[in-house]
Amino acid sequence: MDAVFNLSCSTRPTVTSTSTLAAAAGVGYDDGKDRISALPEDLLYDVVSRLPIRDAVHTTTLSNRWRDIWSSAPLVLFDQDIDIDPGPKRVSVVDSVLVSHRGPFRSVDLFSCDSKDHEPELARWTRILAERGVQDLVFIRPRVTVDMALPAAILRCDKLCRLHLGFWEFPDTTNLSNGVPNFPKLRELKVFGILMADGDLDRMLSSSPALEKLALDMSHRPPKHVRLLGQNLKCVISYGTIAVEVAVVEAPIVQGAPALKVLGYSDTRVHQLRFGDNDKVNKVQAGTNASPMCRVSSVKILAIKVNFFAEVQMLPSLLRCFPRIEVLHIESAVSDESDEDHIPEFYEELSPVECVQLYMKARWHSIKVLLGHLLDQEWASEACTVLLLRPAAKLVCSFDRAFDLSIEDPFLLNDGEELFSDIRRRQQDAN
Amino acid sequence: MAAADSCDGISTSGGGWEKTVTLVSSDDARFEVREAAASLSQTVRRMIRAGGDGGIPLPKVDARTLSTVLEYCNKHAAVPAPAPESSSAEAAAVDLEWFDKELMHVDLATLCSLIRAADYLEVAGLLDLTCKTVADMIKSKTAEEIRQMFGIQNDFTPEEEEQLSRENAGVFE
Repeated sequence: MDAVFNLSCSTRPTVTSTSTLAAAAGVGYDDGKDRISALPEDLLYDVVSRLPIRDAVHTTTLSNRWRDIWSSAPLVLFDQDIDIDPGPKRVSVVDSVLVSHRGPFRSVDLFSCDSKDHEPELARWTRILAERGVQDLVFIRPRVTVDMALPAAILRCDKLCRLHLGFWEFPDTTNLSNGVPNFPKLRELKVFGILMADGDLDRMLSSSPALEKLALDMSHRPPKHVRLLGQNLKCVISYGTIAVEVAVVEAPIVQGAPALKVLGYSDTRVHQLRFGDNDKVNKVQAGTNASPMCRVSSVKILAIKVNFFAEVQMLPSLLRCFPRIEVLHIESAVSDESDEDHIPEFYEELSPVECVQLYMKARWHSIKVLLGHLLDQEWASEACTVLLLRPAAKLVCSFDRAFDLSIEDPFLLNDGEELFSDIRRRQQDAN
Repeated sequence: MAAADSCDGISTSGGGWEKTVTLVSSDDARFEVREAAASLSQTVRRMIRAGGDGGIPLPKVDARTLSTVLEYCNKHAAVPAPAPESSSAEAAAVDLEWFDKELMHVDLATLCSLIRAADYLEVAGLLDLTCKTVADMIKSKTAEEIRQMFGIQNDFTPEEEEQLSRENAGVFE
């Protein structure tokens, strides 16, 4: 299954696309007084930071008052705003902007660096990004091949709060001239299509004590395991079909439950959940009884992918590790052709959205095994919703959406063709 | 939208009683507002915590500006409908968007006063709205158009201007 990622970065404080009412209404200066220029600099910075980069740079030509406003205001650069076709010209605009701005860099989104010809620019950009303390960085190559190395300077961006990387070879974190990477403020990390050596991801995670949200798609060359450290992690989303072990390290246990609330999108065929610390790891497999160590009671929303026909036996063991689930997404995976023969009949029997109890009506043995366990073990609350999704041809996933913890259920999207929309619609019909 | 009442009665909502605070503008006008609305201003919120009698003085905001700020706060701190329908959240968002757009139908002097007031009172949503409005006005205009619109004097010497346009062209051309 290929995950199709939503690359849109929805949280940019840019201007609206429609022309403003005030401007449309022809509101001008009334008495000749230049009140805008008289505003304190901090407020002019605020205005300029909201402009597309061309307009922002343009304000430096208005008057002496405005001359240094842009280069002193926190930089907001979204390079797809630049109305020049991608290529060397756009790269040179981005280069001039980054070089001529004094910083700080509040928010920089770079999608333009594509060709190996731009390696000198790439080196300069990462160095400048680190020097000017970039806080929010989206750095994605526009093509889905991983043949360019990200310069190690990226590891010196220690002011980062949010980092989103796509389609790079990650720098080696072992032999850094100035020690280990350090991201004391990093709260959000999204990594996809990144080539990382074993241990680099662990090192990134252990260098990011404040991390709350983590999304991984490491299909290119996934690490053997991902150790989830930190009491602050609230949302972990992992895609990809090659073996990934997810070790939820709930340490130190005495400090109480971790904050992890959302965990997805586990494919039971390839992910393994392991609990515990280094010395004592409990691997979840069929028949495992969830010891207290293996329980993560903070998780409220869990999304998993499972083959009902082949792997349903291990599902209860897995689910018992999450005793407080409120919403469970199960996407059915198909492992071989013989299973596919059963699929139509199976789903005819099953209304996609019903509460746990209603699933008991399903004829299929496997689902009974699963749900029988759920009910017998006093697992989860009675109000738990189980959403079942038929094998999906395409998984459309929006990281931004999944990371929005204010949304009741980040795996349930409301509009159009998105994940689980089929189920939501039917649920509404049923009501 | 009608201008906010510069009321001195007790605010109620849906027949209930709500705690109010009195804000005093630079020109000594008194505004009695729901505390929930006034607390959208971090500055006022801190002053409420600090306590005191006789109203909260806001010496940097005049009555006219304050009444618009409070109109914003009252709207944005509105009590949600008691029985929300499925689409009510969406409808409320659309309504707020309309309200905001209407509120920005002001002349430049008022807009600048609102920016300063939102900054001083720390009403984040209003600061966002007003700065965005100014940015929208600047967007996609030539330097001369922007100067015209805002009354900005071009105080560059011809040499400076030439150098600037070279620098600017250096970035974008």
